[in-house]
Amino acid sequence: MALFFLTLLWLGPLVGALLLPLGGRRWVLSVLTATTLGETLIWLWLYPQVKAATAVTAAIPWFTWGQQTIFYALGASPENLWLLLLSILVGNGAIFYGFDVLRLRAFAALMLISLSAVLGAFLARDLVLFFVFYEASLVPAFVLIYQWGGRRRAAAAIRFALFTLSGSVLVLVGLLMGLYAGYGASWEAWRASSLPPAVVFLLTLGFAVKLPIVPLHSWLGEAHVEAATPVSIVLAGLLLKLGGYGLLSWSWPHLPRMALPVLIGWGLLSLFYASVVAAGQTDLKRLIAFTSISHMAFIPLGGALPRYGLMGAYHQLFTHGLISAGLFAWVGLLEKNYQTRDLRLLHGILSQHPRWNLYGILLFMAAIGAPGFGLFISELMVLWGLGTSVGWVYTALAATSLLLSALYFLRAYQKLLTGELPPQGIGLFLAPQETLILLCLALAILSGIYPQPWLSLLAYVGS
Amino acid sequence: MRVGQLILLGEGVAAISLSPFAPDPLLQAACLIVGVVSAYSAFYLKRRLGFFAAGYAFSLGAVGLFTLSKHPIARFAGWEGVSVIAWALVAYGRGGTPRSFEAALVGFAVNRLGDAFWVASLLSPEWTWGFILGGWVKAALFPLTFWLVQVMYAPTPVSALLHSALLVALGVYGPIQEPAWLHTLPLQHIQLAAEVAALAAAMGAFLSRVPKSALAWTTSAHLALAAALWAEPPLAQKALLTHAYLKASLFLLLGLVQKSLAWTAPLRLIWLLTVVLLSFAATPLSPLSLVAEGLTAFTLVRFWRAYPMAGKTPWPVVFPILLTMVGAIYLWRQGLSWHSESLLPLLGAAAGLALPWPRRAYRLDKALIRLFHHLERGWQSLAYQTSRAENALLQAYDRLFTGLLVLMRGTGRVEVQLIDRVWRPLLRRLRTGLEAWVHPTAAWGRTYQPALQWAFVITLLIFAVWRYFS
Repeated sequence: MALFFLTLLWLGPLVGALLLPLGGRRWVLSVLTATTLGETLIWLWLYPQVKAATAVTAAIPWFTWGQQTIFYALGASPENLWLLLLSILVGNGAIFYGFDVLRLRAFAALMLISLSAVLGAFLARDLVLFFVFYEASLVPAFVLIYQWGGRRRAAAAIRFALFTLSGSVLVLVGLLMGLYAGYGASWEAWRASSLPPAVVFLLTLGFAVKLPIVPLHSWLGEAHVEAATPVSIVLAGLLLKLGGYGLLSWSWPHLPRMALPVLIGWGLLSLFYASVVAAGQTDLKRLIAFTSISHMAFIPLGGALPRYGLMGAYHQLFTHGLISAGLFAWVGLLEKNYQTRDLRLLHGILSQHPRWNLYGILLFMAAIGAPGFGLFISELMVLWGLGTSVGWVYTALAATSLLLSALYFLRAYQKLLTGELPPQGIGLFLAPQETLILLCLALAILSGIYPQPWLSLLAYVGS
Repeated sequence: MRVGQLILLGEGVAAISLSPFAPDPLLQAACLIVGVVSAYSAFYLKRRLGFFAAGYAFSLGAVGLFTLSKHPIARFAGWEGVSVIAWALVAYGRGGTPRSFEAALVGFAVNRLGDAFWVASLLSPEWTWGFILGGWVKAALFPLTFWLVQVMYAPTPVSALLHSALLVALGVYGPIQEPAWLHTLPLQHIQLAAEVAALAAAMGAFLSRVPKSALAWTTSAHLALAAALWAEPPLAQKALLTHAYLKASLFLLLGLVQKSLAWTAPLRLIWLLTVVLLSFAATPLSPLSLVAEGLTAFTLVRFWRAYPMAGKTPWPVVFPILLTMVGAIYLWRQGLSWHSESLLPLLGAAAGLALPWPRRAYRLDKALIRLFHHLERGWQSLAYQTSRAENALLQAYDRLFTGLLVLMRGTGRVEVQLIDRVWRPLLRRLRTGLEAWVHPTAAWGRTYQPALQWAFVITLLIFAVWRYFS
């Protein structure tokens, strides 16, 4: 039963993608609605079970490789449950968001294949299976950037592929080293004991490309800027989270103690560097891309720490996924109306659109980590972890991100709200686009005001 | 009556009604002050009434969260929530003009710096300095008073709230809520620093010419006097809450005066009474405190000279009267102790009656706000430079990947050469030979075929002889 539903969760979008060519736009809409509803229902079935038993798992032998048996093992647990929900909502929401693209069926099919791979990677309980899904997510993302992107999309897509494939090679080598050293590929075996430092190093580097952490981040800015907005939503909301999930779940279950200062230093470097670069951007998408890197720096800061740090890092993956998806969706709205994302050309536009202004300030406040939004809880937990496990100096240093994020976001908002109005802009009412923004905002607020459902599950991870 | 006015009045009544039930002294004061300011706003403000009502309610909720919660994250949510709502009230209070955004950003950014200190202490139990530093920033004590002077751009009722029970009050109240933290710190040195800050802020008020800015400087001075009492939490709390009621009253009075640009006799009387009561708020610990208090009282009374006497007293004066009465009752219940030293502030207040409003002003905050803008420009410049570095990094990666491609292409060329120069001629010869064997062409056949045929026959013969004899 569990195996059937867990398989259906990742297989559903893939089947949907295969069915899409059979009909027109209405058919595409029906298939998408069916997959979204089906996946949501499966998630709702999973939630109480995970809450009661902490994990729902199922496994059957897949193939034997030397002494190792590789399993087709899937599972839902506190580590991935909220990321599954994030994938379902943001992944499907992004397809609805991009419903007016050219070659809709191909676009929707590729997005569904990408979603299927992401869901599979989150569900996988065997490192080989995880790697298969992890790699599979690259191909549709590459084609999506290459086919539906902006003017320099080819270069961006190739750079994306080169970077992420380089990271994958490192992950693969780490995985093989682990397997040959006798660590089983299953979730339990892999996490049962300390991995050799070389394996941890390779996996960390490989996943850090995907997260990304400075200086392995250079693919991200271009990919976000050149990709179509729905693809940017999936990139920031889901694909980056695969890297974070890989680090937290597969690389760092037993991190050597000596690695902690390195990771914290690396996280702080990434945080400050990305904040500074974000403040110098004039392209809104690039700005949000760099803020993503800055926020994702909380993963190396908290992920290696016990209890609150780790809980905060997992929570951050979920909340940042929502907020970055909402921010990209919002920038997409502006771009659709004004055909530009350049802050220098968009002075005063928000004063024309009160509703977009409201979305904008709520999303910016959410991204700043203001109280009442999920990111506030995540970042505070990581800071708490740093304070209790490492020391106040690191907490104070990481807490300056509060100041930096306020500076670059509020300055950008100030430019968008005040100044001379641009000559054009029609203020369309775009139902699917606004629905996605509202959905992201609603969940970001819910996870900030009442974080108990998240924290009660993540407490298991922290312990 | 408009809907917005009704909402503000309803909110005022609700907040005042809740006040007696509030379990925390600061929350009690905040309920009362928010209630009175809300009712005052219903008649004072003309636009965006619903927005202000929401802002007041949220800010009261944030103070409640801070004062009542025991969980550090929830407490920090309240602490920072007040800053966020203050940002919104200042930024949109006058309709979202560039200047109001600038003021709001300065306030929010400086507050966030304080928040970083505060949260570091809140979450790292061994380090208590963060409470003091965070409180210092939040309370806008000198030299960080400049942000408070900047946010004066907000409408008067908002200023009344931010300067009394909401934003800055948390800066002084936060550390005294947990006295255990404080005893690990050198409180005598902190007291001295706070007294010096009070004197500097009093000087700032004295040198200021804009009434609201001068009032903001006095807030900093009074809060510094309250902070000097951190070693005696009950006295600090008394100074803080008395100041909260009375300073809110002064702001509301100033709002009425600025609306008609004139004083009336009742307004002046209440102003004077409030200033005198305010002189008894903080217990002076040293001559430094006394001088600071005297100078502040002098500056406040000198406000009489800022505007002429004219017109009728507006009826919303009942709201500041109410707050002054509450402040007086609070002070009385806490123990209005008389000392001979208290004469100095009163003398200062009396001197203020005689001297004119300054024609020329010196802004102590000018240098600091300039420093802030310099820092921000530096930050922007760093950001642009780093963006260039980012492009350089991108190019370096591109070179790396291009290098790989070149290497691959080079290897490809070697491969081509190998094929062209070695394998292809060899294969061509072999193929030609075989073809000639099967289909001899005229030229080739004439030359090589007989030789090859004879060679083949001789080879066969040698092989046969060798097999026969072996």
